[in-house]
Order: sequence, then C-alpha cells, then structure tokens
Amino acid sequence: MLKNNNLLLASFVASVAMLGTGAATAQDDKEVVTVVKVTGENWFTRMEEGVTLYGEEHDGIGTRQVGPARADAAQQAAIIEDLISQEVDALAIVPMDPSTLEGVLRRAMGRGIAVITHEADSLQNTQLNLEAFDNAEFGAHFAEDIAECMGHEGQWTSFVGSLGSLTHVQWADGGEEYMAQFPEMELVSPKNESFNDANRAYELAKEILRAYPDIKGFQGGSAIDVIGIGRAVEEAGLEDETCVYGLGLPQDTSAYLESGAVDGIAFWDPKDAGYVMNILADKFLNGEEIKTGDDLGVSGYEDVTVTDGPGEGKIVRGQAWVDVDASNWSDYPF
Amino acid sequence: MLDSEHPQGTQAATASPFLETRSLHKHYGGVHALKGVSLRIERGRFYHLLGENGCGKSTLIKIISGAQSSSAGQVLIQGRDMTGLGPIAALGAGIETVYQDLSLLPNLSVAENIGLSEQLVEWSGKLFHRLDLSRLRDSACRALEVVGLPTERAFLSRQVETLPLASRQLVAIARAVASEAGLVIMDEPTTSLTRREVDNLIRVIRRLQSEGAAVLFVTHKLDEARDIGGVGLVMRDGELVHECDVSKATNAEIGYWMTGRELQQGRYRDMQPEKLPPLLEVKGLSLKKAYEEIDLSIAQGEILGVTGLADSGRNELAMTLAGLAPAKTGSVVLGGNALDLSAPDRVIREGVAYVPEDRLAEGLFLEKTISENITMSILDRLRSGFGLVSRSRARQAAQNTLEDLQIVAEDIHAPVSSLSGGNQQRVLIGRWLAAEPRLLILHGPTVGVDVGSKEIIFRIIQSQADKGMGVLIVSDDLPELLQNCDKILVMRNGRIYQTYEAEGLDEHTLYSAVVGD
Amino acid sequence: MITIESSHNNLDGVAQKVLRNFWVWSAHHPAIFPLFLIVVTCLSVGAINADFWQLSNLFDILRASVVRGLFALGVLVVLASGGLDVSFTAIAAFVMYTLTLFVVNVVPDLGIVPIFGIAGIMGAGLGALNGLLVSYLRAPALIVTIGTQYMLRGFLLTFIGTALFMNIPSAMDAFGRLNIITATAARGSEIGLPVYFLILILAATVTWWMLKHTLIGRAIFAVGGKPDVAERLGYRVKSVRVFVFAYAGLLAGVAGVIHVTANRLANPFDLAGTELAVIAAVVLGGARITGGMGSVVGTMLGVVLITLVSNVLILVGIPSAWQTAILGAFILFAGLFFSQLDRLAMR
Repeated sequence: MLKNNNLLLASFVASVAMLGTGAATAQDDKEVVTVVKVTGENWFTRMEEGVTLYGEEHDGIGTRQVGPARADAAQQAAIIEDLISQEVDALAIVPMDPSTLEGVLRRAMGRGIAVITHEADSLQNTQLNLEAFDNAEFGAHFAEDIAECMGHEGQWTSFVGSLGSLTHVQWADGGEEYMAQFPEMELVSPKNESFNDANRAYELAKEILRAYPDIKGFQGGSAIDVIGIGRAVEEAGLEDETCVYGLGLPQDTSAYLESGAVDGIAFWDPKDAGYVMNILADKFLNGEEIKTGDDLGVSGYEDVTVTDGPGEGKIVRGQAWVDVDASNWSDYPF
Repeated sequence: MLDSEHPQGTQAATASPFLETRSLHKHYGGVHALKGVSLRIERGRFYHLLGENGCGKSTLIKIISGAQSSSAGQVLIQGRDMTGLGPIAALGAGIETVYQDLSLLPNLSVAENIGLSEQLVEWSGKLFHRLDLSRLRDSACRALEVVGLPTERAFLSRQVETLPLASRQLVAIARAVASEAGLVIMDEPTTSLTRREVDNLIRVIRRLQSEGAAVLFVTHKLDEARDIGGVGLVMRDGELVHECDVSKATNAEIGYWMTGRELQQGRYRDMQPEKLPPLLEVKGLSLKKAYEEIDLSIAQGEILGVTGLADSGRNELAMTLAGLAPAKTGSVVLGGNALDLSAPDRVIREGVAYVPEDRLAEGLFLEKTISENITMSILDRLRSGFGLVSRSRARQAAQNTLEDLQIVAEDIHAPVSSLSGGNQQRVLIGRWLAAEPRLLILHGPTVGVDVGSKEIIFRIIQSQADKGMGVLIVSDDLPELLQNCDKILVMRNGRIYQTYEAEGLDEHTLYSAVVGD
Repeated sequence: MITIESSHNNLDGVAQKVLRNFWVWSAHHPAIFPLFLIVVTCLSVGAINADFWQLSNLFDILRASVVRGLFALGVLVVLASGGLDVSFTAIAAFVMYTLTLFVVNVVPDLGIVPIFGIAGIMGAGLGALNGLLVSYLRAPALIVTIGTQYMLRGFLLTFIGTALFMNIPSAMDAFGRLNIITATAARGSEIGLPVYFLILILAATVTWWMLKHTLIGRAIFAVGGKPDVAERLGYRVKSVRVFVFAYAGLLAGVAGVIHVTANRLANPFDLAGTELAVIAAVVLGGARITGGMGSVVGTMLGVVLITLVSNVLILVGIPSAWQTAILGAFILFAGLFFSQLDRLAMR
C-alpha cells in the first residue's frame, strides 16, 4: 500500500514539474501569464514567440506561456486556478471551452487579477477579449473564396474541430450566412467534427465525398482539418474539381497547397496575437483605456475596433488575417 | 487408467506410505499454526481430518498441496522429499486438492477444468506451449465416465459456472481422476449438498478409492465420516491429538478430542413448553413453482424444524416468511395480526428476524466491525435525542451480545473477517437477537460451523425459546433438528409430507421421509 | 429471467420455448449481438442511401478499423485476464512519434520490417511495465494504466516533441500507400484496401490461436475467472499478468506505426481520447469488463460496428452530434443485453 502511494506521489510530482517549466524571473514588477489551449502545437509555439518577445522588449514586465499537455478544458481550468493562487498580475487566456472558465475567471478578477482573453467573444467574465478579426467576417472570407472558386453554384460543407469550439462554429455560421446570397449554393452535412485529428478529418471527408459525389466546396475549421480534407481530395484525384479553404498553417499544409488539393488557407499570426494580448494586459494594468481607432503598433492591429462584450468587458478586434496559397506559403517559417 | 499404473489396487499399502509428513511446523507472524504434525497416508484408504475451525486443518492441507510452504519439517511423497516445491510439483506427484470452493475455474469449460492440469503439469507450469485439444477432450471424457457425468460434446464445452453444485462437485472429482491422483484431499465436500447428492458423491469417491487412491476428507460432519469409514485424524491447536477408527468412534469421543472438553450429546431440548398461545399461523400459503397449500403454526417458545430436499420448497418457504419471496395466495398471521410479507423491512418491523443460509453472501459485512454488524438491525433504537446514533449505547449493545453469545474476539471493533466461521455465525445471530424479534427464522444455522461453536449456537437457540421467542429452523442437518426442535415438518415436492414430534424420533425414519424411499 | 406469464395456449408455450432457446444459444455466442447491430445498421443505411453498397465503402471501413482493431485485440487479452488497460493509446502515440523521429533523423533508410519490429519491442516493453506494476505492487490495473498513460503522454510532449511533422520516413510512406486490391469509387477515383489491413488479420489470427490453442491462452482466462483458484492450480498468475500487458503494448506499438503510415504525418496529439471507444468495441463484442470472457471474433465485430457507426452515418445525413449519441445507445443496449444473458445463463 505504501509503495503504491509513493509511486502515485512520484508521478504527481513529475507532472506538476512538467507544468511549471519557464517560471517568470523574480525581479519584474508585473507578471503576465499567457494560458493557451495546449502546449506544443505549432500554433501555440508560434504564439509563445510573441509572448516572450513582449517580455524581452519591455522592462518591468515578465511574460511567460503555459498550457495543459493535452487539449482538455478541465486541465486548463486547473492551471488557471494554480496561477490565481500564485497571485500573478494578469492572465492572458486562450480558452479551450470558454463557458467552463466563467467561474474561475470571475474568481481571478475578484482577486484583482487582470483577465485578457483571446478567441472568446461570448465570455462574460473578461476585461478585454482580443479577436484578430470578426469571426463571422473571417468565416465569410473563406466562403467568399469558396463561392468564387466554385462559380457560385454547387454543394459545399464545413468542418469544425468540435462543436464546443465556439470560434470554429462562428466561422462555419459566418460562411453559411455569406452563402445565403447565392441560391445555387447548397450546404450539406454542416459542421463535421474532426476532433483535431487529421485522420478523422480524412475519414469524414471521404464519407462526404461518397454521400455527395458532386460536392465541390470544403471549409475547414481546425488548423488540421484542411490536411485531412486535402488528403482525401488528393486520393480521389479531385484536386481540380474541388475548392478547399480553411484555417491552416503554411508549413503543415504546404504539400497540399502545392498539389492543389487545398486551394487556400488563411490564418492570423499567433505570434502577433500573443504579443498584442500582452500589450493589452500591460495597458490595462497601467489603467490605459483602449478605444476604437487606436493603433497598437502591430500589423493588422493598427486600427482596432472596440465594442462592448456580453459582460462588463470590451472586445478589441483587428483585421489581422493573412491569406496564403501555393504562391506564398514559403514566406512563412511555421 | 489408475489400474494400469497401480496394478495392486487396494492392496497398495506397502512399507512406504504414499504420503508422509514429518513434524511439520508453520508460523504466521506470531501465531504457531502447526506444531509438529507427523502423519502417514496409505493408498486405497479413507482419512477424515477432524477439528474445530482454526485448529490448523487448512494450514496442513495447504502445505501438503504445495499452496504454502512449511516453516519446518518435511513432506514426503512416495519416499521423495517434496517439501516446499509448489502446487505444480504436488499435482505432478499425484496430490489433488478439492477445496470448499471446488477449485474450479467458473468461466472455463468442463473439459478444460478436468484436463488442463494434466498438460500444465506435463510442461511443469511453463505456459508457452501448444495445447493438445484432442487429448484434453479424451482425458476429460474418460474421467467423466468414471464419475458418471455425461460425455457428449455439449456437456464438455459447457461453462462450469452454469452447472448445478452437485455436478460441479463431480467435475472437481473428475479432475482428480484425470490426473490419476494418488491422494485426493476434499475440504468439506458435502457442505451445501442435499442428502441424496451426498450419497451419490460418496459412491463416486468409493470408486476412486477402490482404484487405489487415498482420500482425505476435511469435515465437520461426524455422521458422514462414520458412514464412509476409515481413519479419523483429530487435530487441536495445531497438533494431531488423536487417531482412531472413525466408524467405531463416538461423537462424544471425537468431540472430546476436538475441544478438550465434554460436549453434550442427545437432545438440547429438554423441557416441553406448556401450551402457550400461538405466535405464527400460516394457512394455505402457495408460491408458484415452489410450494403449495402450506399450513403451519408456531406457538410462543416453540421450536419448529422444516426439512426436505433442496427442491422441496423449504428454502422458498423460509424466504417467503422473511419477506424475500412474496407468496401469491394464503394468509400469514403473527400474534393475531395479518403479516405483510411484501418486503423484508416490513417483516423486520413486525418482529421477524431471518438469518440466511449463506452468511457471507447475504448476511455479514465482512470488512465492517463486529459492533457495526451487530447494531445495524437496531439503529432505530440506538438513536439519541437528536436522531443521531448514540455511540455509547451501540457499544453497550454490541458488548452485551458478545458476552451473551460467547463470541471470541479481540474487541468489538475488530472486522468480522478476522473471526472464525462459528464466531461469524454467532455475530449474525447476535445481530438479530439484538433486535429482540418475536419470531426467529434460522436457515441452516450451523453450516460450516465446528462442533464447539455448534453447541454454543444450540444453547443460544434454546435459551431464546425459553424466553418465549418462536423459532423456525430450516435445515438439512437432521441430527441438528432432532436435537433442537419440538416438531419437525418434512416437505416434499412443494407440499408438507409429514409432521413429526421430535422427541423420540429416530434419524432413519426422518431420512426416509425426506428422500422418499 | 423471462417475465412472461405462464402460457394460456400451446402457441404461447412454443414461442416461449423458442425465445428461451434463443437466449441460451446467444449466451454461448455473444458475438451474435454486434453482428446483429452491424446488419441492422448496414440495412438501414443502405436502404436510405444506395451509395452505401460500394466495394470502396467496405474498403474504407476495413481500413479505418485497423488501428482500432489492433488496440482492441490487446484490450481483449487484458480484459480476459481480469485486468483493464487505458494506456495503450499513449503507448502507441509514444512509440509512433519517437520512432518516426528517430528513423527520420538517424536511419532514414530503415526498412518497414525493422520499423515494425522496433515498434513492437518498444510497445511490449512499455506494456510489460504496466504488467509489473499491476502484478507486483498489486495496484488496480485501471489506476496504474491511467497513471502510465498520463506519464507517457506528458513525457512525450515535454521531452520528445510536440510539433506535427509531415515528412515521414520513405519506407513508412510507401508502406502506407501499398494496396492489396483497389476498387473504383463513384467519380472514377481508386480506393484501395491497404496492405496494413493484413497486419490486423494476422494479429487477429495469432491472438485467436493463442487464446484457443495454447496453455497461456487458457491461463489468461483462468486468471480472469478466478485468480486465487488459478494460483492454487499452479498457474503463474504474475507471469500471465505481465504477459497480457506486454502483448497489449506490442499491438499498440504496431498500431502506432500503422497510424503514421496511414495518416502520412506524425502528430503526437493523435489517438488520445480514443481509449473508451476501443474498450466499448471489445465489450460490445461480448467481453466482460470483469474479466474471464471474450472472443476474437466478437471483438472484431465490435470494432467494425464502432467504425461503421462513426463513419457511415454521414451517408444518411445524421448530424455529427447525433452520431455520438447513437453510439452511446448501442453501448447501453449491449450492456443491458449481456447482463440479461448472464442472468439467464445462470438458471
């Protein structure tokens, strides 16, 4: 019995140690911690560059990024609880599932911790929520590309990482709204859940190709969806007949962009988002107010829009999406 | 197949015995469980290992069968030293042990249960070998034939857990046959069998013996041992204290050697109660597929015995009266009021206590303390003013029960699992006596209980009846009924076959009524 | 327990007898249950959308069953021995990512056979670790494997890497594209049944043979049925426990490599969270969560059923949220069916 306990304790200590990598330096006056959905995905690795950069460029502020080892809302909440008890000055959070964090974020604000969020415009308990762009506009942007590519007629479908990922659902809805103006566009089997697994997206895409042999348009949700869809399209030899657009990262998607299985991707640079979240946190801690039209000094965020959020907080929006296709993917190192 | 290897058959008893132990000792922590046991077992003979629970019988068997190693001493099989070689070596040397749970693998087939050991022994326990399925089936078939079970494929591939207990018992013996065992150890083989099944079992065992195997029974049933005959080996406190010809030994003699004191023989029921008012009256009770038109009555202070074969309906009748199997028709009146038998808690509230047959599965919470087990039926009464259970009152109640029933335990906060079988049974009875019921229903009250504990349990039953409690004993231990009851009711095929006055009734008459000869 | 009132006429009596015989028969052939659900699902999906009846669709379902099937065979063996394993996906992810990284960076020309060999050995080693912890520390298998699952995954993501990479070794890429036969789907594209499907067939056959025709196979069931009795009868219970976890680990390692070759990318986040679906497949196939029961045929049918439900419901236009609900209903149904069978078999 004692042995078992020791073993459990050991594994617990080991896992806690894993979470604690990259502690802030002690001499900084202000500590801003960015909490991401999951550590290590290329996306959030890139975001960490922005987070770290802000800390290096500015004196008197310590920045670091943490996140659970797997995409799990409960684990993310547990990490935030820990940070609250460590009494950091500000949290910059990319929520896995915003609704599950309401309680813990209210507690954080109650303790005087500034709460900045990203990709969570439905969240009540936040002071500033940063959106790289309006989600409906972003979804409409993909739909515009798809519609153009398809000649404004035919069947199309949309993917989401999961039905619980609000932004993915908003993109899918935004796309659907945009398409409403074209009576010849038919949406079939909407919002397929890929669970952030390329293989799952691949299997789903194949089934959709079988169920709707005439389908032409695919709108990806999670950054990994276009990879799976692209593979299914490539195997079916339909590179030229289909139009695949969605969120994606240049390096991961490059092979399919080259083959034409994926026609175009767009993303916002997570490095900039990480950097801007920390700007917002810094400004908020200094008591500065953000207004529509402010220039935050980062490309895509030169002329932000500020609106009231669903709660007390405000939503800050840029126009920071980047379009990538076969011609320019190699400009991006991630 | 036994014959081919041992052509002498029953005459195998020669200079060197099949098995010999030389001053075996076993220590468990501070407990000295075996204190130098030396015994010799010859082929073709019956042995009965007798003794109270905790006297070291189980330890001795475990050491002989290789399941445990001894602290000192030797085990010799056919002159070879086999001390501490493990179960595979013991099996290989021809020792087959049928524990109380029959050592069967419930999810494997009949054929596998019988034939696997043979091949396991052949590869000396190494598992990465091909299984010879046809040989498995062949040896299973041969063994099944010997014990008189079917040998068709459907039976061979049947899962053992789907068989009735008596057949499982025979499958376990078939395994001993298949492995050509020189010594078959049977740990309380007849505990849960009816008389007829016991008779059949003994027939099969005799056949085994006649082919040259020695059989060592571990048993509490002296009458059965006497019927079978052979050598009686009595153990007490880790020592072999007495060896005798079991068929000639009296209960008093063996009881004396087992307990070290004189036990009461004959009837415990000495006084006939004066005609007290009736307590329980049952009229025309029927339950489909179990029993029909049962009429019976129990007066205050009266002890009624009910017996019959396992399928006679006696078990279901007991369950019905406990509220566990509501009857379809008929009336039950307790102390002048109709008794609602639809649920056990209602029956308990009316003052009926039911002590089930399987105390482990249905009665006791083994991991809970003695005190908790005793007081759980009377929590209502132990409540103090605020509706909380009063600890001191609970402790007192448990302590009283412990003393009244002479339960041997370190203290009332020890878990029930630390007690011996007889003491466990007394805790269960104590729980219901603490509730001060008007009617006590005992289902097989001394199953698996040694004679010493039996005596104490019988005395408890008598003293409760003397206080005016009505007692119903459902049992197939006929001497137990004869010793304790005023009247004995025999059931057959779901109906009451005959009612006897217990005083002066002999066991043979009762047995014939039960089996219907 | 069949709670049918006693028969009023002969017809009822006959029906009752037939029903009872059916129950008894299915108690001995639990694989009938997933088979029945597969047939029902196929017939209803096929009736609504005739596109279902394509050879290419069959190929897709079989292909998608491979990784889950290998996992399930491991889980079957562990369950049969009375254990439980939830760490196999972590073992697979660990092996596939570490090994792919190693091959790409150190021995890019390594052939597919040694790759599978190393994967099997790594997986078996990690699985044996589970087995040692379970049998020597006497810790509950569920807790041990939850622990090793988290530790392996944490170790993988912290110390090995987190980046998805697309340039997998050429031998793995080529193996993933190798087909046994191909069928032509609508729109004229070729859909193949990949060679790695044969690995599942091979693993299933070996597992079946082992469970049926070797001493270790019977020992696994013996230990799963009653470990104390098995020990008394001379079965080496500890060796059996270590073996089953090692075997499950071996299959998981192989499954991990197949996942990479089929997916043409290595993503350390993949496979997490699929454990319960695999265990559900095995239980749908008639294995008991409490041990001592289960068959390879039933397990394979359970896997096909789960794959079928998660893939083909798109064909009949069922929204994605409902697909999970239907799967849940099937599992619940299976649980009720088997508990009913248990009670009947005892009578």
